[in-house]
Amino acid sequence: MKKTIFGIRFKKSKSKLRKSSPKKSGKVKSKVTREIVRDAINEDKIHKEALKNESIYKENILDHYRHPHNKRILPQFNLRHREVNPLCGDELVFYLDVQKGMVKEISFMGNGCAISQAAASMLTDEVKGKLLKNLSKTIDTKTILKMLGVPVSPARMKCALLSLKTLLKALEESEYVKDAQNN
Amino acid sequence: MNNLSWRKDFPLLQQKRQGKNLVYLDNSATTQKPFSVLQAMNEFYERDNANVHRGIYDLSLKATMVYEQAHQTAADFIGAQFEEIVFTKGTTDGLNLLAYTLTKKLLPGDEIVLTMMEHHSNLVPWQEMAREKKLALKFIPLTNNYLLDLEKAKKIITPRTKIVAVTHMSNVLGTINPVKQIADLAHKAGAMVIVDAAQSVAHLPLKVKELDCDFLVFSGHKMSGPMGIGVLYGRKELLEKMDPFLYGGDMINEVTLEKATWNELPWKFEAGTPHVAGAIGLAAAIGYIQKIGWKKIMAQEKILMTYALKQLAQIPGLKIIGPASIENRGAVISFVMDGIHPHDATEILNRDNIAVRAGQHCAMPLLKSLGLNGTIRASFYFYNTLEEVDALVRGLRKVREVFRP
Repeated sequence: MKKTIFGIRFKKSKSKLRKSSPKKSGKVKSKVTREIVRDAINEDKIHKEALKNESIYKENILDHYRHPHNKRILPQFNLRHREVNPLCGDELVFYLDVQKGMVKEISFMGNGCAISQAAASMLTDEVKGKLLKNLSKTIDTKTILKMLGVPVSPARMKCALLSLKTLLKALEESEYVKDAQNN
Repeated sequence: MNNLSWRKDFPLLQQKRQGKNLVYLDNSATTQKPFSVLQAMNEFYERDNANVHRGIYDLSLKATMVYEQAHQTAADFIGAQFEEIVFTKGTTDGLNLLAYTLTKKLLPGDEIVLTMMEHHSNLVPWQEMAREKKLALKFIPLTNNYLLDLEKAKKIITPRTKIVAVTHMSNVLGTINPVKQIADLAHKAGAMVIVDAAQSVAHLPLKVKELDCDFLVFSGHKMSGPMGIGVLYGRKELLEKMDPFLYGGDMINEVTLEKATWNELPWKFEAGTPHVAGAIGLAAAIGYIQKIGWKKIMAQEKILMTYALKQLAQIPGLKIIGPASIENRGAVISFVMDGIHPHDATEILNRDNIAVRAGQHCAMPLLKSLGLNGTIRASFYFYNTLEEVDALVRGLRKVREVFRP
């Protein structure tokens, strides 16, 4: 697995990524990885607070974990992307049915911890009905952390962001499909 | 009730976080270091630091002497000869050296036999070499009780098998493999045997002659030594025939602009300035283990394992992944909990300053074959106490409360 630990692309790099081919994105990634690590360390302050109680596992998260929304395979979809988290063995597959540039339906399958599953469940709710072209501009790490509404420690950042990574990769693929058609 | 006289030797274990004692149960990943190891490394840098095998002056001779003494200490530790001990960065480094040099002269279709329970470090190097040289990789499967299936191994090892590389102790299951029996099968077929002793070296006395292996590798940091140093043992006549792995300073005999000849064993395999302080730290760790004595170390680990297996089995919804009996089992317990992801469990344990590992433990194919996405793993060393087992069990009950359906 050549993925970096915090191998999630941040908002800042996305414009670059869209313009470049996936093979050229290596440099961007390492820079972005550093940013994520830095951000994660800043999160450590919150993490210390979290140590005092089990606030990360508040009911909202556990509800989504036990009864995830949109966890199924769509009967019809035109975008599918799978990502794994090699360290913990988490796996997510997103299915999107995009019609006229809009996410008509979205679902996910896979397995993972409460944080990664709840994030996927919430993210699919959030994305449904949105225009594809706006998504990569509006959905980022902050969106996920806000949705989760609990402090996420550096160690758990990968879990929290796996669904975001999967979605953004799926979107990238859609743009390649589009580019390929245009050419 | 379980007051260990040697626990105070480990400075790191004395620390607390917000009033809570550290309960360190991730010893399969790395062990903590006794003061004597830290002191030995420090003293080398304070008193004896110079490059080895180079200077004529006293300081360099002293450094060379202590470095070579470390080779002898490691050799005695596993019943080998001085020339048979190559210092590496660690187990992974040693296995890469072997995968690269031993496959050099193999032919397409030659077989390498591994087991289903290998750590990635004893799998991926062979995969890469197999792909390059068109070799066949074969795997000895497990029985239902998480042991190697020796009946199947008899069929898997054939006259085309050139290398059998097997872990002595699984870092996930805790299984201790019958290396001697496998070596017999391999040698009958004319294959060489490599033992990955990364896990076992900390928990039981190893003698290469008794295991009857051709090569054996381990890391210092998993046996209370420093990180970045490890041992590759190879039978002298085999090491002599092998080409070097890395080229550069200290590993040569004579160099012209066109070619070079190689230094004698073990230096032929130690290119560049070695990790002298690490080797000295490793020798100090060996000294420390010998001072405590295997009898006491093994007895304490047996007490811990017996108690932990019994206590863990009483937690509802907890399933232990590994051999049922504590015979032939190292001080590692992997388990899963109904409806609770290992990461969630370990995060909640961390709130109580309990350090255990969650995930796939660098053994993805094994976990996949068992139908698991990951396990929680508690691994012990002789400095752990029964109170720490109790803390783990209390923590796991708390995990269940948080996730109560």
